[in-house]
Amino acid sequence: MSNIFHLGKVEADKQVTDVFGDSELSCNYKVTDNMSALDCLSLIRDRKVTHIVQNSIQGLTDKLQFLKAVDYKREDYFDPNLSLLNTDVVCVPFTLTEDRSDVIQKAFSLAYLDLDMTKYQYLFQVATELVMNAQIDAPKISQKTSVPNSMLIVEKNMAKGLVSISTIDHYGSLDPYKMLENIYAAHMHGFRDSMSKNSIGAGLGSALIYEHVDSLIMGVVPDVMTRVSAVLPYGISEKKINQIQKSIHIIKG
Amino acid sequence: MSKLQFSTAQENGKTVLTLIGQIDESFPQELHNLKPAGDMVINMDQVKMINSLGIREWIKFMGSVSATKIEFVKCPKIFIDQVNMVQGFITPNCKITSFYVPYFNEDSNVEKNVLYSFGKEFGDGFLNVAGSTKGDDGSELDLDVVEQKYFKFLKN
Repeated sequence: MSNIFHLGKVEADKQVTDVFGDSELSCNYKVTDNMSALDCLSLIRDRKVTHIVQNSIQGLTDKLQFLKAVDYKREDYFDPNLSLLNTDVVCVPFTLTEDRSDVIQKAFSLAYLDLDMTKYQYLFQVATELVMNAQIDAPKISQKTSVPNSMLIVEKNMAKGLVSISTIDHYGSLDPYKMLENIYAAHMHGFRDSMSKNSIGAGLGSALIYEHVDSLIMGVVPDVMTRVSAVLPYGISEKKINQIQKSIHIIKG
Repeated sequence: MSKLQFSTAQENGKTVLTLIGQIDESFPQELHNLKPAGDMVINMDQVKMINSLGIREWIKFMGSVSATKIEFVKCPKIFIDQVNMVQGFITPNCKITSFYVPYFNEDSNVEKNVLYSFGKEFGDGFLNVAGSTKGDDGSELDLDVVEQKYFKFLKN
């Protein structure tokens, strides 16, 4: 079965022209097609591309518009009210010690996400890993001792079949390339062999997130703020989800 | 407090361990010290979530009971996904004898998890996968897994 998200070069080029027009983007991006999850990671590792964009459940045009917007004004990505899916945004602040499940349940409930369906357990899993990064990893890496509360941000767009889950923390300690390296290791060597034995994190969280995403967006203003967003399928059959063509964005402020 | 509740019981000379909740970093230490009398059956029916730190704890737990013959029953999709993805998530002394297969209707957003059992839908050398099933309201639900991926663990 051919990939239902495959656009072909002519159509992809047309969408690029429609969205970008004559504007020249300053970032190093690649619009591509039929690229596997592992190939996307390799491209970023080897060629230091900061944005890889493919048509998928989230359409190419939407992704190009996002790329154009953050290229023009990167700081917009760190605005908690920014909508990634053109819908209402739910923001729930949380502390370092707050119970993750409570925070996630509150945000999901406000966004009308159904936690009772086993199909959507991966949303809870992804949200858990993102909140864990903000609660455990970020403060451990940073030297900061006092920062404002972090935030869990959730959006649902039923018509597009997408949910976005983001966290913002005020440590700014994320190294996007290290995060991608962890994902790459899990893909290359398997989850077990890339698992860290230390007590902070298992090193698998990023790979679990990447496994499910349509788009992964990693933004950091060093020592100021980190925002990581996972754009995920919702209400979509597993057979379509299996054909997702992943996109990755690295945004450095 | 651990987010994974557990209970043990003795049935037909086997230790039956029932797990309820989330497998995460709060994994109960008592389970690492568990010494089952005879073979063990682990009921996974009510396991709702497994996170990255839970995967590490689980692999440790599997190591601590590697001398025991283990049968997993009523495994939810989230467990089967980890078995397929994480090598060593279950060890060679283990056998999955029943697991859930999800069915879904994209239009109505309705799901149903059908229990596949050893000797019935699958067994040594056979697997009978139904492409669809009826929902509780009579609607048609399609198999909601990619067969080559989801049933991979049966080959091992």
